[in-house]
Amino acid sequence: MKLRNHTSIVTQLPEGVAPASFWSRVTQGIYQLLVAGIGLYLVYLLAMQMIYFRAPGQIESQRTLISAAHAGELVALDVVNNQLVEKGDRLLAIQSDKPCELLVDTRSGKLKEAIQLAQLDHQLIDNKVLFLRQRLNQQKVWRALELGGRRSINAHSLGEEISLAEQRLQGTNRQLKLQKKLLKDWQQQLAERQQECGPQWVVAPFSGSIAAVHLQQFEYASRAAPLVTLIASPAIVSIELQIDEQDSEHFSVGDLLTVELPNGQISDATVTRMISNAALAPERKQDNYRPVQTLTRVDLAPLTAGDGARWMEFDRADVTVITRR
Amino acid sequence: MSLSPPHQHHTIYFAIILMSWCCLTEAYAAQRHPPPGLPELASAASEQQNMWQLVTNLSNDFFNLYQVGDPVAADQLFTGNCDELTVPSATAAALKAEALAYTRDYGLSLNGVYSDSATSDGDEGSAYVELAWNLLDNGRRENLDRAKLLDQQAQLAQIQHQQQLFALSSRCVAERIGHTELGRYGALLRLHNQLLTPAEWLERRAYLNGISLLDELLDAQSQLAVTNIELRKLHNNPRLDTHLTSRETLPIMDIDIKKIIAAIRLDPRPDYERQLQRQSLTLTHETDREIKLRLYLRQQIPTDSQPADLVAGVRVSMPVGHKAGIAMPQRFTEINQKIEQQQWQRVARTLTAYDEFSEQLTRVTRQHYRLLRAAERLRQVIVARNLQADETDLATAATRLHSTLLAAENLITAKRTLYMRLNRVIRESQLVLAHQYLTPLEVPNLDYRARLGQRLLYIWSKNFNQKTNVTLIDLIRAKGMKQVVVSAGKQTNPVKLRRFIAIAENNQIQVELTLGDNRWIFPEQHEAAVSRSLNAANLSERLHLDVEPQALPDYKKNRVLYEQHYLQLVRRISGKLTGQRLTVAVPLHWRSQTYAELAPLVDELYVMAYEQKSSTQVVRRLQPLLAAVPVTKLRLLASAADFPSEWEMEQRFIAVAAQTGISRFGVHALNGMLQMAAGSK
Repeated sequence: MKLRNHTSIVTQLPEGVAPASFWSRVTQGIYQLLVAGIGLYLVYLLAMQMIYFRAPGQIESQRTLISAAHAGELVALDVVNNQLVEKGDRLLAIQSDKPCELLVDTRSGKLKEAIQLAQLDHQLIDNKVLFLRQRLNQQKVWRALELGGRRSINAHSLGEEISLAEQRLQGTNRQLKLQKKLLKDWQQQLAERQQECGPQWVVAPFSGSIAAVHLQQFEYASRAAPLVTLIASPAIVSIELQIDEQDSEHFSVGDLLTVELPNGQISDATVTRMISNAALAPERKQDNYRPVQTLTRVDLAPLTAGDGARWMEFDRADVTVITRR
Repeated sequence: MSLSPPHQHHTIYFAIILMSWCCLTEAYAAQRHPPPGLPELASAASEQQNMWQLVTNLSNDFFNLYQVGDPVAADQLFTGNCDELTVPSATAAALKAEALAYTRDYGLSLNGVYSDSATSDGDEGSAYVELAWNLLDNGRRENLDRAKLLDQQAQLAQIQHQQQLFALSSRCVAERIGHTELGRYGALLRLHNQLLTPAEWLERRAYLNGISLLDELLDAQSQLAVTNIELRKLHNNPRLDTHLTSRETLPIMDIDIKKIIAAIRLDPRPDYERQLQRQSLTLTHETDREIKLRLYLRQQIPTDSQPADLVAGVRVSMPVGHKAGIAMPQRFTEINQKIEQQQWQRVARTLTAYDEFSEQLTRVTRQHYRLLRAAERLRQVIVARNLQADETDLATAATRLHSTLLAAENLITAKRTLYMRLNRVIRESQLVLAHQYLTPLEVPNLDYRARLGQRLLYIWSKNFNQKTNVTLIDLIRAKGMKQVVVSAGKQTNPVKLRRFIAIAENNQIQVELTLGDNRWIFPEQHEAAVSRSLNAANLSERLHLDVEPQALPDYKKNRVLYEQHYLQLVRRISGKLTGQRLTVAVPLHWRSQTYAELAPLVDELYVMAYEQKSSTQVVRRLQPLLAAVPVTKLRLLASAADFPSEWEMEQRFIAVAAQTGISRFGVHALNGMLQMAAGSK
């Protein structure tokens, strides 16, 4: 680029007019555009900074840690990492190291017999009530026909008989329920004892996938030791971000936000929860050092199932949450 | 023609007959020929079933027989003319003719005399012809008196003739009485015969099979024989045969003996008779005069001894001294005594006849109630059978039927005797208009159920569909109802409904079909409402409209408008009916004007007096209705659910009837009525 020099200390010649060049004008235009572009970009960046608020967050999928209810040897392990399981599937079995004694079933037979008798009794009384009602209806017609005779008894006595029978019916109902409950409790007790004395199987509380198996077969697990980490299917995934208190004004529950995933894709989210949180200050400072910072934790949920699936792909990854100020 | 009263004992024997029959086994049943009147039988069970069918059919025929009847008016019975007796008194006519003859006899006579006497001087004779006129004795005066006497004797003869006519008329009435209720009597005998014939056959079989004894068989045969004799008598006598198809019934009558006796005592005829006899006696005495007065004009016929001469003369003859003749005062006394004695005898005989009549009236009343009790017991067993109750016994049913028929026959006989004795009272009283002192005795008929007024019952779909038609009819009749309102809505079984209507009509029960939707009052619904109403009306000829605009939610705001819409609806329906009966259900709180406009459009208004605390309240609330609608168009409805017992409901009806004159009532509804009956202690 050639610059015009208006004055020259060497020559006194008239300045004249510099020769014009088309390409220099083009270049000039390009330079101007570039400068304008840069300027506009800076303005844009500034504007973005002023309009939008960005905060880092982390994708968290809900994981369930299954721990040992009691100490014992892991006698069976039927799952591996990333295995899909259904609710109720056996995961592993722990043999308790406590001594136990099996219960002898001395009551089931008698309880079942009592239940059968009670059911029979109930049926008989039910039939009797039905019969008495029919008889009462017949008796009403009989009396209305003014026929007299043996059938001309007062309906009150029939009504009382029906009432008594119904009370007995209710009684047998309650008795039946009680007996069934007793049987059930007894059988449950037997099963529990059986379980306690035998290897206790741990089953999947819900359908999902095995995120991690923490022990190996025949390994000893202490009480409350983590055994398996299970992620539900469909997984419950969320984004958690920690922001300063003063920034929390940009968020409110129910707001729709944009999330920038690590691969640059944009996803939609909504604020589900905002709670106060505290975090330890990572570094000491010379001035105004406070060891515990007061932050606000914001939980986001995916707006659609598709968003949730994409988030799952970046489990534990950092993302950027963008919201309008 | 009467059956003897000791037939009551036969009822016991009849019961034994049938109970012994019931001991027959199937083995016996297989050995026999079928009893007369029953079809070929396969087993004892089917024989029993057929016998049940026979008893049921005969019972239904009996009750149907008493559904129709034309009560005989007593005055027609006692005042109808007997042709043989409309003859005038011949004696009176003869006496009158003689009286007339005497009035034409002026006492003139033409006499002629010739006498010839032989004397010493030879024959001396005389002769004359004279025209004589007797004026007194044997003359004009006496003839006139005789004519008057004969006239009075003619009147006396007429009185005696009337008394004779009275006796003959009484005989004629007695014969007429004998013809009454022949139709019903004959029908009863036929029913009885249909029952006794198979019963006798069964008893004969039982006897020959050793189950019963000969005397029981003889009793059955005797009853059958008597029944057949009566039937033969009825059918063989040509004079009686013409009355067999009639349905006349004799009401039970009483007579006011006080008025009869008073009328006898005030009867002017004895005084008239007394007067006539006295006049007659007086005239007899007066005509028996001995004063003679005779005027004569004599022409002497010339003879040898006398010349011709015309002589006019007067002859007078008069008794001197006391004239023997009738002792008038004593005769008058005699006449008075006779008349008074006759009167006394008349009263005494009337009272005696009345005593016998009164005794018979007691018997008839007792017999009437005996018939009612027997019929009620028969009804109970037939209705129980209809309910297929196991405890109904064929022997009981047949015995009760037999008792009922016997009681009915005896009642007819007793009533005839009653009327005979009544006839005797009238005959002895010799009062021409004695029948006006007769009053019918208020006794209940076979439909009587001790309930006031006319009744109807509401039956809604659920109960209608659940209960058999026969049970429904039995229920209606048990409560003394003659009308029933049945829902014609979509939930009612249409086939059952048609059958029910037919059965009800056969039992003289009127069926009104009810339907309605409260929204029908709106003009846009009128067309559909009219169409549905006409369909129901064509089915039973009686339509009951159950449209209650007061049940609409905004009735209070639009009361006047809704009631006017309702009236328009009723007008349209009423205009489309072709003679069918239309009734409507109305509440107690509409405007008087609405009631007044509604009354001419319908046959009856059924007033829904539900949930009222007392009869006073009901009567008070009825006043606007009574002011706007004739009482004959009002029927009071009560809800059975409002009363703990039927007694309480009856007291309500009685109280309202006494204060308002309403005599038609209705019960809503069957379900409540059953509950009420069941709840009564």
